[in-house]
Amino acid sequence: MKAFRLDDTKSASATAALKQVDSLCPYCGVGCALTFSVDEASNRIVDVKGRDGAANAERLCVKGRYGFDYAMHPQRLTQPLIRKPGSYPKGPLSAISKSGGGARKPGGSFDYDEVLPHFREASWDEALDLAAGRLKEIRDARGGDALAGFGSAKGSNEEAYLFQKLVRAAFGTNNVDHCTRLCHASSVAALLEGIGSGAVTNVVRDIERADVAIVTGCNPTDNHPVAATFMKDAAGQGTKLIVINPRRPQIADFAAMYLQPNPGSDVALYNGMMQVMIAEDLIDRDFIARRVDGFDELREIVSHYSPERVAKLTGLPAQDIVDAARLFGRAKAAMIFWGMGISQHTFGTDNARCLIALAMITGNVGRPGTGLHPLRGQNNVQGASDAGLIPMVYPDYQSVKDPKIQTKFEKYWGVKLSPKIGLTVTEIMGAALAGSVKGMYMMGENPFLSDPDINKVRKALSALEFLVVQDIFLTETAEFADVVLPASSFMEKAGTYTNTDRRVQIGRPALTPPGAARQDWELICEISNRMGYPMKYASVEAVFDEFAACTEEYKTLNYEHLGSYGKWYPCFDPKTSPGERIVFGDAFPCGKAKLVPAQISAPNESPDRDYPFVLNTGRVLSHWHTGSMTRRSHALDTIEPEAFVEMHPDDAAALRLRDGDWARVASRRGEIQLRVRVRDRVSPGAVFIPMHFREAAANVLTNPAIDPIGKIPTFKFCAVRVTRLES
Amino acid sequence: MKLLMKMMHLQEQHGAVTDAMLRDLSESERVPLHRLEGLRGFYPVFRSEPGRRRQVQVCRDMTCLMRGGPDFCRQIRTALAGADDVDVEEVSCLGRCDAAPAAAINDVPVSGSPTDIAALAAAMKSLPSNEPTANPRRWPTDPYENDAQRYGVLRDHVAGDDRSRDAFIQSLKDADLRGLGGAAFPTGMKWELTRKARGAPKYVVCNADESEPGTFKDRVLLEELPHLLIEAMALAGWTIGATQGIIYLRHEYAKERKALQREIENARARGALGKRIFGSATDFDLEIFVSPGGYILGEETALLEALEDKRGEPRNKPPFPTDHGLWGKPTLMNNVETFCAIPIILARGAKWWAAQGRRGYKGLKFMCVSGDVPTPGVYCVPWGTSVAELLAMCGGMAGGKNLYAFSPGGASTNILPASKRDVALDFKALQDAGSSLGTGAMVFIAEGRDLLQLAMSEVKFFRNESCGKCVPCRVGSHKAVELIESATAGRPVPDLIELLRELNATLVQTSICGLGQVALAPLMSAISNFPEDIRPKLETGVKVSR
Amino acid sequence: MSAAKRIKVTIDGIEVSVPEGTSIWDAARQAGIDIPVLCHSPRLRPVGVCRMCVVDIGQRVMAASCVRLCEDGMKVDASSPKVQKHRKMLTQLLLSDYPEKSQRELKTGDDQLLALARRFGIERIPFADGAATGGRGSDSSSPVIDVDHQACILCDKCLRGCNELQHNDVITRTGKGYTARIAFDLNAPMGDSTCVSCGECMAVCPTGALTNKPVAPVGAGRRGANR
Repeated sequence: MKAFRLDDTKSASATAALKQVDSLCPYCGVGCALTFSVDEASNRIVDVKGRDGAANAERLCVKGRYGFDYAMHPQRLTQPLIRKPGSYPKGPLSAISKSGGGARKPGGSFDYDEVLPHFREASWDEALDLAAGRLKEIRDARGGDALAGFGSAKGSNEEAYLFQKLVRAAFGTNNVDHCTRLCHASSVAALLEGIGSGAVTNVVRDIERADVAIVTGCNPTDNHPVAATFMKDAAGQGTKLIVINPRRPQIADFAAMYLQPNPGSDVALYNGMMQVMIAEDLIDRDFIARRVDGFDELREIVSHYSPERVAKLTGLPAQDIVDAARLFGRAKAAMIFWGMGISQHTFGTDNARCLIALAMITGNVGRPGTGLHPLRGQNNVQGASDAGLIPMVYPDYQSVKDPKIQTKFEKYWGVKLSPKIGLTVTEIMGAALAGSVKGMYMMGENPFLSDPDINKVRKALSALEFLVVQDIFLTETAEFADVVLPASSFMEKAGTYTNTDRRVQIGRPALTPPGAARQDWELICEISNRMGYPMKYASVEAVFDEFAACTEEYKTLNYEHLGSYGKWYPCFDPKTSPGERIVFGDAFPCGKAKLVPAQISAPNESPDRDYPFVLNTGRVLSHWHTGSMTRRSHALDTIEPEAFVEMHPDDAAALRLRDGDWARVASRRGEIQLRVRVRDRVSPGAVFIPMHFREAAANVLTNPAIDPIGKIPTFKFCAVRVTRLES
Repeated sequence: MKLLMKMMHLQEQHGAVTDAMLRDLSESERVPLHRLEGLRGFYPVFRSEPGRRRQVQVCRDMTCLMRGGPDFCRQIRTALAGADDVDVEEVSCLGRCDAAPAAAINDVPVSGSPTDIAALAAAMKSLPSNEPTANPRRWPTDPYENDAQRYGVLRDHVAGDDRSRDAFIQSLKDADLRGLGGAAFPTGMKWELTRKARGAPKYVVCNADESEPGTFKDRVLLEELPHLLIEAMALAGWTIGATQGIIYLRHEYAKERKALQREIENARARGALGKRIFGSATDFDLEIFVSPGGYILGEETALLEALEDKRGEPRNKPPFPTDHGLWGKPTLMNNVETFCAIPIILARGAKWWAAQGRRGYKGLKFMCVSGDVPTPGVYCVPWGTSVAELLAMCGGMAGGKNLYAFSPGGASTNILPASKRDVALDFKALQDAGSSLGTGAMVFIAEGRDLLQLAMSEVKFFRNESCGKCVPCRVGSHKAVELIESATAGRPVPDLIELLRELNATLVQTSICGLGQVALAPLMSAISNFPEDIRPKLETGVKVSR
Repeated sequence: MSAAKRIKVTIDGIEVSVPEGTSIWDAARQAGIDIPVLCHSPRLRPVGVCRMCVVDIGQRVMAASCVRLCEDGMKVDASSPKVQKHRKMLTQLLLSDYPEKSQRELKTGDDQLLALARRFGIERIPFADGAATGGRGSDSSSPVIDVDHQACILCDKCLRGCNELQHNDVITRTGKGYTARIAFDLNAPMGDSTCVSCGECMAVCPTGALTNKPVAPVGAGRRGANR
């Protein structure tokens, strides 16, 4: 008989003393709801559980469930830092990658010991006075346009709102932007142009009501993992996925059709599909007549994209193009998801225009299981854009050029504002190099790793007269700072965040900031006050109320209504309604949709004899963007500690490269060294490098050429050469 | 079926299904690795690494334990000491209880003394041929006198209309034919249900996976009367509207498979299978699916799971296969013997069938008899024959011993004392007597036998063959064996018999399938029906032989 | 979509009206009756393998309420001593193989098997200790999850979580009968498998079989701490 004592079974487990805090995941745009278990005594998060949020239904991915420990990392900034006088002129303080051939050990986030000695600790007053003072000097001497601000798509709506208000009201310029510029700027440009709104029309989980879903230019299993689980649910229930991507994503295993077109040939593919649909009358004539302008011109343009011509341009069999068109065209309800593979090109806006046209001519908008869904990457990129962290528009996409709008905000904020459209992230770097932008304030952004052509970025950052960096870790960008302000991590603040579904949810603090680190929103107010524009709020909730009141979409919401689970916007009756899952059932914000046909165009830099490969850059499941958070998370760093370049077996064999060998990858911008992974998911002639690893940064290689309308760089396409590194 | 067939082919070709092979299969078949591991780990035919040149499998169950003794396998191992190219393992019932103690070498059935078997295994010369008999016997349930007459019933009916089908089902009901694989479900009703069920395509499946210790009747039918099985399945297809039939056959019946396969080809050649059977509008064809092994695959829903390339774990019922069977479609599944009875019922009528029985019972039953009898084997006897009469047909008890106990229907049925020897062989009669006809596998046990040991061999069989899906059977059968072993080693737990009763009740009431429900039945019936013999051994911890 | 036909069932004397196609377990929940479960969760497809949820519906054997559908007029006994006795026996069977210390109880205090032991007031386990001899092994190769096979009750939740919710397709049962256990890919250590560490298996596991590793102290002293 087994010995058993009932009383012994209840252990005095550590859990008894833990506090449960309902909050959100800080990482991607799915916006999973979760609960932190917190040991208040030691200020540590111990555990994460999934919560039944509308977007995730208790599901989480490795980052949300295990990637929270970065907030407790000893490298957290705890004191304001001021650059020592001897560390001028500014230049990079750490090597991107240590030179000298041979095998390199994986880098990891950079060495504090190389950078910290160039800074001294300071009190808050000294740091804030210096920061605000120098920015004010530059503004007064050279005008507001000599200043610029980068806000954060990871920060809350309240922070984003205050930041753009600071730049506009205190700096006196519209030079404010954030990383959406690098992500969905072209998609948003096309959507604003086409239907008057950049937000998604249907939520992700609406795919369960779709007969067909196009999943193009994205890899949701890695980058929106929980969203991908719902796509796979739908596929299991009969939804037919058409997956399109030059690099085969894992979700293609669940697809009815997988197309692997030549990189950069998307316009041809979609025009080809539309040509077939129009020719076979698989379009919704009634919808076109009632709700769409520009069909005739579109029809004329796409008529020149026969399946045979498109087959040549895309490298796909003509029959596949016809089959895909028929599958989509015959569906009663079809939905389109897309990601960076569509947007991050010099013709990203054109790509998105094609997708919009595809949905419009088949009447696939405004009904269950239909719609346009650009998968938003950051947890609050939607909110940051909504809050006006954009050089062309105020909160809620109200144009800075419109005198009526300008007056409205001048009244609202009690200050004169600039009517001049500001510079985008990519343009600001150029302006810094050229000397027209002299001072910058960056909050929660690391353009060093996230911008293209980072050698050029380093030069630009060095050229700035004054740079204030506000962050939770010393980033590569902070190497160029004059003042570094230690800020609050996601787990230490209260705020609202808007996910890819247009769902506004509240994140709540589970930890207290370490050392002397402070709340981002309060620091923005401090700078503003010291620059002469008073900002004072009783609470972060008050900031939300002010922001919401000047928008159409948020104005019905408040913290009480949002509660623990949030609401979709628009939400017409927050007391009884969860918000609108689906929008534009009757009309678009601009009335009728405007079709803008696109023509295939050549990439800015194509492969040639010297640089024969196409470089595709992107992300991996266990890391987030510039790695400042995830490379400081034990689990995530353990899972994927180092950079790699993915090559097709045929290409690897031709270069005598095997899995695990070291290679040198070079472009006209620079070169890096990293290990090879031989995989047949990339097509021959193309390679893939993830963006996360500073010691082998993909963006050393990338091309800063931008899309003319979206101003987004062509991260997904440039030319490189690969050579074996002899050890 | 496709995945398992590919895996079995690899196993056959290479003696193993290695990780490398499964990785290739995973890619070519677009199935995740874990699915293949699940199959490889569940089914006994699969090995991860190749075994030695000769694989000896020695039966460890009831009749073989009786005839070979508990040391039979050990003796083979001893005789093979030094032979480094032979593996020996104990296995569950091989279905050759009439040749007990049974063994197989590389799936070829062999018999003899331990030294004989060891010599055969170690020798380099080839194994005995494993061909079906050239002289199948005539059996009373075969309406055909010669080969030319075969499939006559099918020929006469297959062009028939719905009224024909109605009449046919009525015949089955009138004949009171019941499932002869152990479940005894009325056959006519099952055919009617499947015919009425909605969904397409429908399937006809023959459960030819007999594996319960003591059972080998289907083996003989497959070898000697395969034409009746084939004909009945085609008739089933015609009746319920199915065009596809599958015979799920245990892999240990290699010789019988050959007989079956040859007869299927013969039937096709004669137009009894295939498109437009005998010129009618009826299409029907058959294939054999060889089981990757395990007794549980004889459970009807576990069998369906295997056909669907999953682990052979029984489903929760309802729904039942008649509505929701193979791939969720209506499926008619019957035992070999049940199918084989059908042509003659249709040929000669339900009244004729009824008249073949005795004492008011209807029809003819194939009983497989083994144990302490001089002439074990398959006997076709009238329903209603008494147990004593059956014993007499086998030449009485061997060595002039007295009958002590008998297990009338296989390991899942309660063991009865000799005093019940006059009970009729019939479902209800045996139920009234406190047991069941089950599979018709009769094991006669002589006085002097260690009944507890024999009963526990059956309990161990169920423990060995448990699929592991549900708690009561997986854990309960294991713990029951442990309880008995500790008792017989002199360390019984207090109130052991009461505990066993409660444990048994939980297995009966909460197991998903029949295996769990009957797993402890042999033991519980031994305790109830043989108290003076069994109780002392469990209560006082008297040491007994292994 | 037309509404399903509504039927009435009586559970422990309480009558409830439910749409056709409702399981007895769901109907019981509606009636405020909490039938204990280990292998079932409303997030997962029901499989009825632990048998803890058995109820008496007046048939030859009990029915697993999580998989058994209501029928009009059904009378269900979900809580009688007869039913409770079986649940208690099942719990004792599982406890007999359970490790002395449950990782789940220690780390998060929510071990569901031990909770049932307390709920049923189990004072003794009349079976041999299956955990004493060597045990089924553990696996700490994953960067985030500790696997304790001895605490696994083969409830199938981790499989459904991994394969049906997250669609990562890593986990299977392998082996058969009493020695069946969960496995990753081709029975590789979890950390060497295609597991992507989503943690769903751990989240749905009711026992100490799959638990989170403690949060590692992050790189103190690694590449210099900021003081």
